[in-house]
Amino acid sequence: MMLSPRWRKLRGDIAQAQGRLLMMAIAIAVGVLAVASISTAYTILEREIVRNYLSTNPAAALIDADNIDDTVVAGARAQEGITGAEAAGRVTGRVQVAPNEWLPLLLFVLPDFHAAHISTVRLEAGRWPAEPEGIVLERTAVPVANTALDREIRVQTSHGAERSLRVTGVVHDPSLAPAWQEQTVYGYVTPATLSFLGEDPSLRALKMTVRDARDRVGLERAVVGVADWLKGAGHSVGEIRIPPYQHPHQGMMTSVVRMLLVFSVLTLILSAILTATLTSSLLSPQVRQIGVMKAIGARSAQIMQIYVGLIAAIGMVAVGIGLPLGIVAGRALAENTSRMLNLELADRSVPAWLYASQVLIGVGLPLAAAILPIWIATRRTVRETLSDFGVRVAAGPGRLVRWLSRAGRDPALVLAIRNSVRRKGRLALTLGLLAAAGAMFMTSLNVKTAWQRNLAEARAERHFDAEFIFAEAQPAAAVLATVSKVPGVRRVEPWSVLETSPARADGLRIVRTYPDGGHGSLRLQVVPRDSAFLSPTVIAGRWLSVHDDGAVVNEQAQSMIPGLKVGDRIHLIVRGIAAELRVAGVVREHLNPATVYASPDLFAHITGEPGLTQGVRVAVDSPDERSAGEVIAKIERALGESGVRVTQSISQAQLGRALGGHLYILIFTLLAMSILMAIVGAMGLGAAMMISVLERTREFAVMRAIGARAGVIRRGVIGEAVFVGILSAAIAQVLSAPLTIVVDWIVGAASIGPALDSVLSTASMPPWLAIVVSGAAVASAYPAWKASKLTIRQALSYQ
Amino acid sequence: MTAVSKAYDSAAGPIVALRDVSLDVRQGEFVAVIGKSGSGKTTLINLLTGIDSPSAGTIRIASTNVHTLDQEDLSTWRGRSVGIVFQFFQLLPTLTIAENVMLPMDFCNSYPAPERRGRAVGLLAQMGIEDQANKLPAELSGGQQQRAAIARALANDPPLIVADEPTGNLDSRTSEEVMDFFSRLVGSGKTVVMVTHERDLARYFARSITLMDGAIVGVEAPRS
Repeated sequence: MMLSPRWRKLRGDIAQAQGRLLMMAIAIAVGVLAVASISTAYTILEREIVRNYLSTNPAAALIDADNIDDTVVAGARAQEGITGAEAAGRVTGRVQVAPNEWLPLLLFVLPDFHAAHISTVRLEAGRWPAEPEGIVLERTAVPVANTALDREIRVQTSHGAERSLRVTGVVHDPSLAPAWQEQTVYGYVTPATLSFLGEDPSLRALKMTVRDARDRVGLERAVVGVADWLKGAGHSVGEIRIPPYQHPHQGMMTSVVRMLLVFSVLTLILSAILTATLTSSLLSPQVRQIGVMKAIGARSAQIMQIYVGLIAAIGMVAVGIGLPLGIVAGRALAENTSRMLNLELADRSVPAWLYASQVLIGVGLPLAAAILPIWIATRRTVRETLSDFGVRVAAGPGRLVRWLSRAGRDPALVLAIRNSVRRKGRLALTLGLLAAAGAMFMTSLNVKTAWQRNLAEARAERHFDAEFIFAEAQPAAAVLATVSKVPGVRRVEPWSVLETSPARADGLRIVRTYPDGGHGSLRLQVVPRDSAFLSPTVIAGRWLSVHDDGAVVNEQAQSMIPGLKVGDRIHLIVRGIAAELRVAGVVREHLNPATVYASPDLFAHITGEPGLTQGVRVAVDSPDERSAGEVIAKIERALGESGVRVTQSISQAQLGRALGGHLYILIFTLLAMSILMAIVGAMGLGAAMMISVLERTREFAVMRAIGARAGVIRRGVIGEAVFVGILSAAIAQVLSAPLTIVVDWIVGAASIGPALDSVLSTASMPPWLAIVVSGAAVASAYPAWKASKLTIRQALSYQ
Repeated sequence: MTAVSKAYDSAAGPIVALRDVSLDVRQGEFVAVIGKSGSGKTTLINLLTGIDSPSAGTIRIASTNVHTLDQEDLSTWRGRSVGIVFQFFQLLPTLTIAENVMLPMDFCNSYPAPERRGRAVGLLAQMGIEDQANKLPAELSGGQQQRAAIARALANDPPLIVADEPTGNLDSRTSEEVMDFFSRLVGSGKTVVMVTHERDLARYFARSITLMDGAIVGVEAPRS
């Protein structure tokens, strides 16, 4: 089909201004790439995290009870709302990962690996153990346990001696947070292995599935029904766990990816606005042509069609470049994040609506942004357009620019500074783009610093180096005497910690913890008199007194019980005993689980065990990891020799690693996003410089005619870009402050409860300044080269 | 034009470009508008073509009250009723000569699309430049470009041709050829209003109107 002349004109205009148009296309393409990559990652991860979790047929609830046999399982299955039930077990212990180093071990007990249908795992390598000395490890736990398939590991459970188990297989359990993040080793064993380890082999947990696990009211009703039935049948019912029915890190991942999505849309909006500026610049040499077309009969709408067509064509090209790259980048991001979350991406496909929406956004947003300059240009009267003579300087430079100009002695520099403010609208947009990228970069480093500082403050709040938890409560005085004699121990204090849960009127203990028992738990911590190991910041009420009958909660625990404040009474179940505690204060703690603090007197009153302790905390003389490790080993030996069984010993270094692991995904993606925004910013700056050079072609000719050398022209153009870059870095520094506070809040809410204590640092300025200055120099190098290569004749004849 | 005045605002106060000008042009007449720079020539033809609107007075061309039309209606009316020839040709640089001539037909949808190219080449042939049809304007001489611009002005077969110093950038031989062509157009019934400052072209015009300081100061009919 033959094109009509107006569309041929469009084709000709594209051919004539292909450099500028390509730059516009690339700027939009980077925006599309940002949005497409994050939406792709978001779509894949949201789908796959759910699919991974649901692929295990996760238990909607678990009830701890005594001896779950086949009769109990069959009876539970018959209860209303229950679609499936299986017996299982969960035992904690520890595993030796280095000569003096142990990590927590979480053993999931399955009576028959092949018959399991609830909370299943997938065997990836090796085999299910047929022998009692065999264990299967979760795949992320293998490196954490410092072992491999067919090698032996030393483990010890709460009631058994140290034993060696052979790793017969490796499984993938997508319902758990990765072992390296939690610094916990996950293993799967049979009841026979439990016996081998010295534990009671009977299964004490009932896993259940229901018709609709998302119907939380219906689910709780069904689970309470089973619990009542168990009690009616003479069984003792312990803790009931109703996990949130999602991956432990799904909430965090969703919040973070949504935040990134907002930033990526911001990138696209900025690139669309850049398109609007570039469109105005493109239209300025076309103004007379518009006048001529109107003079020979074109209506405004017909001319608008041409330029709208042009922008739409650029948008299509941008989508053509940005979308496939964005999908590839998004898949890579999803792949990387899935490894961090221990997910298996079975399906990397992107839904059709995502393609459609990207086309719509990639074409629609630039069009929406460019429609105003197009409308203005086509609405001008013929007389106005025919008497348009191009760029004029309406007003002189502002006071700051005049001052900066005076400060410079190099005429190229003076010209650069003055030129930068000639097109204020374009300058504002270029600055906006670069400043947004800079603010993002600085924010990601600020968040990283804040996280590290939170880790450091958490460390500083805990003035001890290791914590030991015993299998049974021990006489505190004897344990303290044993430990304090160990060489290298500076101080030891009795610290009991017990899992607890809010009490209910029906006496059931229902908790919302994940299958790993860690995420979402509430614990009761006994603070010894005159403790030197804790210095919490009281934010409401007061800290514990010597014989306090009140309790103090941290912010994390406060957020678990909505509306809880000082003076309120909380009802907890501790070791099956109901206890009522008055809240005397609220403390702020860094990176600690939800905790209720009580005095030894109150604890003894609740448990009826005065003078006993469930564990100790120890400070050593040399807190470096190696020395501390050696002392920890000696303490364990000493405790073992005095008949105290240690079920867990964790050093501050191990705790630090576990907490640190949670934020890698966020820092990585924030930095990636800031780099994308920086690319858009540099593109914008390069495009703006190119347009600026084109607009000032005659000016350069005059400069050359009066003796300016090519170097002076180049310096002027690059100097202008660098000046804009430096200016943007200053704005970025200011913008990064509120952005950091918002991101710290999101990160805090998504991961640890309260917001991170924000760090507004200027330390990120030098690296960003280096990036933006070198980016500006690179982006303006081509326009500068073009400007310096123009001959005077060419430049003076440019229209 | 009846009692037409035009004033522009400027930083130094209003500038009156035309004051109380009345002018009748008959169909098939070849009228020259003569005057020095700043006399109001361009303003007069801008008002005639609807490129500009009068501050006062009325402009009626054939049965159309031009001064009452809005910008969109003016574009449509202009495309069908007036052919404009500019001093600096004003061909669109990215279109070939034939495409430039086809453009008014495209905008006004005045001829069926398959016929437009044939008509454009025919008009170029009348101007003696049909062999340049597929070239870009930059590849043509000034005279050839002006012929192409005249062909474009005739694209929709308008009854009125308005030319703003069409020979201002041409050599004398080419100027003569262009003027001969305008004469032939007038002979075929078209009305031509031309701005010029070249007194030696006076023999072509039925009437010459002299402007000074925005007012008509003389009307001559050399051919009579």
